[in-house]
Amino acid sequence: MNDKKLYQETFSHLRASPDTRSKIMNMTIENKRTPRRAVRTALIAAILTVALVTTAFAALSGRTLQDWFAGKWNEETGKDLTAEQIRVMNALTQKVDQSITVNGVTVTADSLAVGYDCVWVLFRVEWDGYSPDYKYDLGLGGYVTPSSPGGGYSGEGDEWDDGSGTLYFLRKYATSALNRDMLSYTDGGYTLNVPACGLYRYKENDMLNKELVELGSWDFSIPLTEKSVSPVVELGDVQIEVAEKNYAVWDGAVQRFEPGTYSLQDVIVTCSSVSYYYDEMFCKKDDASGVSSWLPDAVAILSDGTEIAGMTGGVWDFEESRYLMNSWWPLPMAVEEIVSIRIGETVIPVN
Amino acid sequence: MDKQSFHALAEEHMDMVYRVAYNSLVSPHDADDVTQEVFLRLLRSKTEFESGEHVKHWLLRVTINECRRLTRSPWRRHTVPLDSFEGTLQLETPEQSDLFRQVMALPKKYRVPLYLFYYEELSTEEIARIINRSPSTVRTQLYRARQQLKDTLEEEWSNE
Repeated sequence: MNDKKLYQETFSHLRASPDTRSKIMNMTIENKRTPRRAVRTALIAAILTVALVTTAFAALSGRTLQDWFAGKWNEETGKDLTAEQIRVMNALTQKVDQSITVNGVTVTADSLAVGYDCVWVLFRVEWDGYSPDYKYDLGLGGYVTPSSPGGGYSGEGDEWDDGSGTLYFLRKYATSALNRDMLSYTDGGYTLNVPACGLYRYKENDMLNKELVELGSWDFSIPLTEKSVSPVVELGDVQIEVAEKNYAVWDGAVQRFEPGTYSLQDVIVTCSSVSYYYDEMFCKKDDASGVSSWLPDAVAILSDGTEIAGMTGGVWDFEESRYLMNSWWPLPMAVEEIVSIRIGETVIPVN
Repeated sequence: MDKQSFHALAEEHMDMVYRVAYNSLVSPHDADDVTQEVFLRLLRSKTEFESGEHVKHWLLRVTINECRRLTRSPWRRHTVPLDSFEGTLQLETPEQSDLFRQVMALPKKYRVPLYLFYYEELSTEEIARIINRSPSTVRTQLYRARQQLKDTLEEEWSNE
């Protein structure tokens, strides 16, 4: 059989559900968002602490931070980690082993990896009441003190169990600190604060209907020490050509940008992100919600052609009247293996 | 947009939006959510579409963006095991079942370009514009996807 025909016949069976069909056909312009869980924007627009809620990737598991890094790398690239990536991830990872038990629920901050503007932490939760029939959530929002100017925190999460009743929570805390290195604002004494006050459970695919399992106070204060194992590459100012009309998203709005040359200032590439400043010329009017901004994702391109996309966020620097933009990598990267960065459609060599 | 035009566009493109979202997220629930969100945006959009192709590309672009946004969201739901969902699709032959499984086993970044190429019959240049990647990246992704399918299904996949 012709491959295209087989593909089309196979995927023609994939159709929107009758419920979705009915909702769309009965939509009115006054409709609120579809009745699903709230979707949070990945952008940091102001100084705030974001309470993290779990994400689950069934494919990612393991009992150590390195296991999760290896699984995440495979999910992103379809490949195994290189020796250099393993070296950087191992060097950045520190054992914490801080445990707090409340009402029989023991939460352990197992280990963490400290990047330039991002921290990855693995938590472990053990108690007698675990049931494989439920998924669990422990919140685990966090922030670093003393905080850098502009340093709001956002992040992503992951959750799994090891099949024997131990839950694992992976949390990534990313910041847009205006001085870019989140641990350089003072001479030291940095702490990652993670207050958790409730363990909840919910049925698969029903995250909005959570039940409280235990109320408690699992407040972690984890000292942070930066480990410089990968260089910070300074690319200076970079011009980006936008050759054609381009679409972008700010909180879901779709916009159109005119062709032109844009200037990114002080671009740096680190083990945890690529970041740069840009001025308000980038701001464009969006007909639905007013002023918004182009936030292209940066992609790291490695020597073997592997690509890793960052998650972009930004913060407005009031004093300098410019944005600081970060695209945080999903996991720590060996900067030495990055041969170029692609921002929007422009590829920038990294020497 | 008047109701009649909206209904006509929804009838024509709803399954396309769903298929792109499913290929991206491999979750029927998330794909349904994205489909609703995309058509709500279409209903509210003030864009003056110049042609059928324009609205199709707009819908694809919004779908991709919505999927990316959902993927990055810490609120993302769990996926449904492929086995249980595949059973609801009423696939007709073992070849279809094999292909569905093998496509879903591909890395995420290959699945959407593959769908846009083989099902929607878009060119690599059109796909590149829609997913905001360079045409050469899209060609590489399609090549690697075909190679993997060829290896697993033991069948040659054409590049036309």
